Order: sequence, then structure tokens, then C-alpha cells
Amino acid sequence: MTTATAVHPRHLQVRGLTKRYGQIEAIKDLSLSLSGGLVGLLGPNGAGKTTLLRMLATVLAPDAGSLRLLGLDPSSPRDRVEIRRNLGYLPQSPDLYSRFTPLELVDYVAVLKEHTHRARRQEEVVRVLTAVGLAGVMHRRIRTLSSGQQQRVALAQALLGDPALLVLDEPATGLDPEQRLELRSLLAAGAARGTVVLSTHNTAEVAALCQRVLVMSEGRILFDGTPAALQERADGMVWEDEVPDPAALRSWMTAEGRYRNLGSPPDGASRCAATLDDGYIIVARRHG
Amino acid sequence: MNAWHASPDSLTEYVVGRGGPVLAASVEAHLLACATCRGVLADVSGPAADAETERRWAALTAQVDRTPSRPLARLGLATAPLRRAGILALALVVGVPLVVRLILGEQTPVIFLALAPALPGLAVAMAYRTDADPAGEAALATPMAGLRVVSLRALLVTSAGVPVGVLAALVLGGTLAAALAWLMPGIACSALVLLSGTTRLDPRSVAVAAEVAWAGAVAVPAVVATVPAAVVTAEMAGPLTQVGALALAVVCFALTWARRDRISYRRFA
Repeated sequence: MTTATAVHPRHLQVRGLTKRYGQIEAIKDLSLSLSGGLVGLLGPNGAGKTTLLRMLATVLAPDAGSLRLLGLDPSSPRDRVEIRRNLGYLPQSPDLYSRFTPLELVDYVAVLKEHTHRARRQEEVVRVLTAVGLAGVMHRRIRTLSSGQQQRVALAQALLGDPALLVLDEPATGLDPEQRLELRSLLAAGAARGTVVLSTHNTAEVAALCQRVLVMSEGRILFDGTPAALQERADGMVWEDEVPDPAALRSWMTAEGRYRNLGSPPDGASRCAATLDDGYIIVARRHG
Repeated sequence: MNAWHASPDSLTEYVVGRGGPVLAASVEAHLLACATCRGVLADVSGPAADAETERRWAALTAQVDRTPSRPLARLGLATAPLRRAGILALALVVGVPLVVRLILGEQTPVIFLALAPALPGLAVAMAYRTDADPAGEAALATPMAGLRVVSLRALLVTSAGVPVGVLAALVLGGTLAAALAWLMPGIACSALVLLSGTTRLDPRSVAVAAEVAWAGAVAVPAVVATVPAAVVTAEMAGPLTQVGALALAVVCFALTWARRDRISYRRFA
């Protein structure tokens, strides 16, 4: 038996990462350094978020560049096993076998995660299912559960063993507002232990949870900073009017029947406070 | 009226049935004669019995809630794609020769020999599929992901089919040599498919290609050149075919082992 390799829960480094699918370059020479906490990935569909998360989850190897996850190198078989022992991964499409019960499914993943002691494994499985609020339905078949409950089964398997690195691809999909609040508590606990990287389309999640936000588009990182800094990108660039401004980057009608415009405001425009959504749109559209 | 009374502890133990037969007999004898202790018994029996019921219920639910430990079955046989692969393989190995026997009669062993090696090859091809895993893509990020899981799953699917295949060959009128002759080519086919999982090739396409090549080599002489079934069977069971298949299997397994990291850490989506 070899001795365990040292894990650094808050160390994640990416250098010159590139991934291609045929002629399409999904990730382009991407570099990134994280030191723990909760990091949110924002970006339009096809931005490369899922590809990046799959590489951070050691599911996919890069074509070029280097990765250091928890201070270890996933291209080394020994390091990779050690990373996976300390990793929880929620894929974008979990595709859980629907004839299993949540208990059976999470127990199966616990076996793959080397929880070999049966009694302790059972305790851990029940613990994570309880943590995601599924204790009452753990014996029902997954196919009979709501989409939100199915998503929580997938989340439960990722939480097995309180991993130091949590990689979650759109974890809030299908959850109702109350479940989203519970998810925030779980993720905050994960971030206190190590590093949580999640992708989302919901800027409210990012604002509520993340210490750091990355905006991606076409395989590149367009913005890397705090949610407040992202919001500031739109400061002075939002104004309201009775009609849409054709010169604006984006215009839409508000609930009050006025038009909210984003871009370079004309003289005398009625400026208003920017939101995180505005900041995201400014960053994504300027590079789009 | 009695001058002494049973202690509350004794009465509690009597109520929950922990005191043993001697205490139970003694308490019961005393209760018959003592109204005071019957009153105390009524007071203690409620909470004590509730606590005992609670304890027994907790023990029962803990027993019911015990996680069923069937990890091997889950790895190999649980998901729909794997079950379909197993059923398809069995249908090929048993069903097709049976139909051929009913229609043609004498060429059954040749058809069986041509189709049987598809069984393990198909099992390996299906074992590579992400949707064959009960946990889908999440399983790929676990420490056990890789050659170990793929091999185990393929082995489990195949292990159900191989004895049935051998038995079917014997029942369909084949010799023992014919019934066993497909095993080594089957292992070679599965080794080839296993190796393809370390490349960009789709293991399912490789399994089909290998099976078509093998089936052609076996069936063409019998069908086109009208070589008797017994001669074809003897040739396939002979040392040249068997040693050739063994050599191919060894080379493929060795290459797969050398390239096993590509299964654990995929370069393709």
C-alpha cells in the first residue's frame, strides 16, 4: 500500500488549458488560479463552462496545458486517484439510473468512492441524503421523484465524504426557491472546507453565494473578480427611457412599462443603478 | 396488606421483559396480593412500554433501512443498456442457431461458432458506455473509475452468457469441441474491443467489425464452398485458430494494460 499524497484543499491552478472537439476549440489557452472558497462560472451556452468543469472533475483530459487540482497533477495516475478521493462532481446531465432508489444509487457511488466499510458507508449515505432533504423518500425509486428531488440525489452523491473540491455543473437546476436556499447552506459549508466551483445561468445565485465570479465566452475567461466588481462594470451604463434606444447594446421593457437600456447612454439620459445581470451582459456582449 | 413492595426498577424491568423468569414470577405473585404495587405498575408501565416500543421500532426501521449491498450486481447488470446487451448477446448465441437449426438443420454448429464470440465483445463494448453506469458521468470522477470497473462489468455480463452458450451448443447437437471452440476467439474479440476503448475508435463499431470478420471467416467456407460443418468446426477448434486467438488476446490485453490510463482519464468526450 502506498502512502497517501498530500492534498491542499484550496489549491487549484490551470495553465494554458486547451480542449478541442474536432475543429471546434471549446477551451482556448485558459489560465486560472483559485485558492478556495466558492467560485461561480457564468457564461452563455457553448461558452466552455461544462468542458472546463469536466476537466476540473478529472473526467476529461486536456489537449494542452496543465492542471493542478488540490495541489496534485491529474495526469499522474496516483495523483488522480487521490484527487478523486477528495472530489465531488455533479455533471450537467447526471443520468442517474431511475430504477434505483436514492439510497441504492448513493450507496453505489459510495462503493466507487472506496467507502468499503459497510456500516460506515450506510451512515454516510443516509447522512448526505438527509443533508439534501431526501431522508423521507430515500426508499422510493428515483423515477417516481420530482425533477428537483432527482437533482438533489445527484447532489447527494457529490457530497459523499465531505470532499475538499466540489465541481458542480448547474446545481440549482430544477430546485424551487426554498431548495435553492438549502443548497446555498450546503455549498457554503463545502466552501468552508475547501473549494467549490459551480456553473450557473443565475446571477442571483452568484451574488448570494460566490466570493469570486468568472465570466466565460467562446472558451475564454472574459472577467475574473468579485460579484461586486462585475456589477461595477455596468455602472453609468444603464438608463431608462420611454422607448428602446437603437444604439444600446441591449434594451428590454421593464414591469413598469419603461425601457431599460444598456450601453453608452446619450446626454441627459435617466441613468439608474446597475445590477449584476447588467454587469454580466456588458462583459459578455462586449466580447461577443 | 403487604408490608413490603416491589421496587419501581423491578416493576420497570418486569414491564419491558428484561428481568428474567425468576423476577417475573416473583413480581407477578406479589402483584396478585398488592394493590399498591398494581397502582405503581400502572404508572410505570406507560412510559416504560412506550420507551420499549420506541426502541423496538427503531431497531426494526434500522433493519429495514439497511442499505442493500449489491455493488457487484450494480456494477454489472443493473442498468437497462447492460441488460439489453446481455439479452441481445444471448439471443445471438442461442436464438439464431436455434432458428437456423429449425430451417436448415445441419449447419447449426457453424452458425453458432460464427455468432458466439460476439457475446463477450458486445459485453465489453457496452461496459464502456457512460449510460451503462447507474451513476452516469458522475462515476467517471470516482477513484475506482477506469479499467477495473469496465472489466468487472463486462465480466459480469459475459459470465451469465458463457455457460448458457456452451450448454446451448451441446443441446443444439454440437460436439464438446464445437461448444468450447468459440471461447478463445470470444476472448480475443473482447480483448480487441477492450483495447479499442483506449483509442478514439468507438468500441461498439470495433465489436461489430471484429464479429463480422470472424463470422465471415467461419461461415463463408461452409456456405460458399460448401465445406461440411464438421470440417469447419474441427478447423476452428484446431490448434491454429485457438493459438492464433490466444496470441491476439494476449497482445490486446497487454496493450490495454499499458494504455489503461486512457480509460481512466479520457481524452475524448
